[in-house]
Parts: sequence; structure tokens; C-alpha cells
Amino acid sequence: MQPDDFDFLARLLKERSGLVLTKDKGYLVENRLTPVVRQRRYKSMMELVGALKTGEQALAEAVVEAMMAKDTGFFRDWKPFEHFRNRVLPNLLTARKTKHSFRILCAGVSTGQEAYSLAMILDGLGHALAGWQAEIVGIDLSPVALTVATAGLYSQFEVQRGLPVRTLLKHF
Amino acid sequence: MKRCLVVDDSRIIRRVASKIVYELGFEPEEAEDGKKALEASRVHMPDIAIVDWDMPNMDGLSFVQELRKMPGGDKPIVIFCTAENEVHHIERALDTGANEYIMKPFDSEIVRSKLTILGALD
Repeated sequence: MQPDDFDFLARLLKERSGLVLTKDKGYLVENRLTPVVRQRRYKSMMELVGALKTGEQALAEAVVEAMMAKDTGFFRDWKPFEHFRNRVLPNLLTARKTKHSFRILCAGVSTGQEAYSLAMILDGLGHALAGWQAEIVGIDLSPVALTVATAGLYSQFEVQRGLPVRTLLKHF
Repeated sequence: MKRCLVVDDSRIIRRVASKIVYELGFEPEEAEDGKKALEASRVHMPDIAIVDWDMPNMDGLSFVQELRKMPGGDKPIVIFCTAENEVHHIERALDTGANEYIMKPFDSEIVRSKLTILGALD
């Protein structure tokens, strides 16, 4: 890819998504945008960038979508969720004991597994949350990912990555 | 090095699972049915057992039942790894003494996540 094209892509991604694309990430561009080149029947990456430069909005959205990392999973990395369950949540409940309400923001919620994991933890509190209003808000740049998150339908592979089997039986 | 006993009548599955657990830091040992797995456990109790359900000679459920009766047999973490994926299968496996359950097909990320959940990874 020509340096000018790379710089153009980097600017586009920074403006639209905040993603910082450094020059050593050329492989990432190749990996993630080659499918877009094929799907849209461009002859090369150069041609795709040329089309982007004409200001094609739908193409720009598709490029941003393709460049976003979608790595996620139920109880991803496990320990942060243990920390939430054992430290953050008790402190939150103490801090909000007069309001009896709280909101949790999942920024970059992707396909929703982490937000649902938080919901499962809250559900596990049972009567301790009776009378409380708890809201989990998920946001993401990717409309495709949000559609999956809203549907809440996951493959056998997805539910097995991170979900303890007893939790799987309880919630699915 | 913690030991992981892989019990499955499929040589390919044993090989794949052994490779996965080896890469996760375990010393794999293989058994092709429940009887051989029990013999292996008598010689050296494993830390983890990954167990298929349907096998000749002795199936996975019978193996886990017998294992749990053995001295020290309450210690190993048992993960069923099977194509049986109905809720009643999972419940029966857990009632028999399994700690976790993997539905085939599986991959290294699923095994890693189950071992993480169980606190078996350092």
C-alpha cells in the first residue's frame, strides 16, 4: 500500500472511530480489509482506497466496521469479572444504598457477551437486589455487532468460551 | 507439571486434546476407555481428567463414579468432553461428579476457558 493511501486510511479511522493505526499495522489493514476488497469486487486495496477518497459513505462505514476488533466472550479473561463481583459491585451497592439504582456502561460492547455476563452476575445476587433498579447499557460503533448483541443468540462455540456450564444451563 | 488424563476412544481426539493441554502447561496422559483410565488413575492420580461419554468397556460416567470412590479420587478436576449435548446429559454428568462440561466440537480456547474457570491454570 502506498504511504499516502495508508495515511488516508489512518486519518479516516481516527476520525470515525478513534482507532489509531500506526505504520507497523500494515498487516492489520491487509488482513481486515482484503475481504472488503473482495466483497465489493475491487481489483486492489489501492482501488478501494481510491473509492474511499471519493467520499463513499457506505464504503467508509464498511471499512470502519471491518477494522474494528470484535474479540469478546462471556466472562472474558475471567478475573475482571471476579473483581467486579467481589469488589466493585459490593462497593457500588454500598455507595448507592439510598438511591437503590445504578447504571453500568459497557463501552465497546461488541456482540454483547460481556454485558450479558454482568447481567448474570447481577442475577446471581437474587433477593439482595430486590427493589433495586439496575441498568446495563451497551454501546458500540459496529451496527452489525449490536444487532448480534440485541438478538442475544450465540453459537455452541461462543457459549462454551467463558461460560461455566452451570451458568449456561441457568441462562440459556 | 500437573498431569492431565485424556480419556477418549478416538485416537484423533486424544491427540488433539493432549496437544491442547500440553500447550497449556499440563503433562498429558491418554487412555482409550474408562477401564484403562481407572488403571492409570490407580498408578498416578491425575490433576485433571478430560473424559468422553460413550466409550467401549467402561463409559465416561462409570469411570467418574469409580474415580470419585477411589482414595484421592475427589481431587481431580473432571471435565466431560462429549458429543452428548442435551441438558439431561449435562445434568447427569454434573450429578455424577464432573466439574465442567465441553460439547464437541471444541477448540483450544474452550479448553483454556474451562480450565481458567476452574482455577486450574497458573
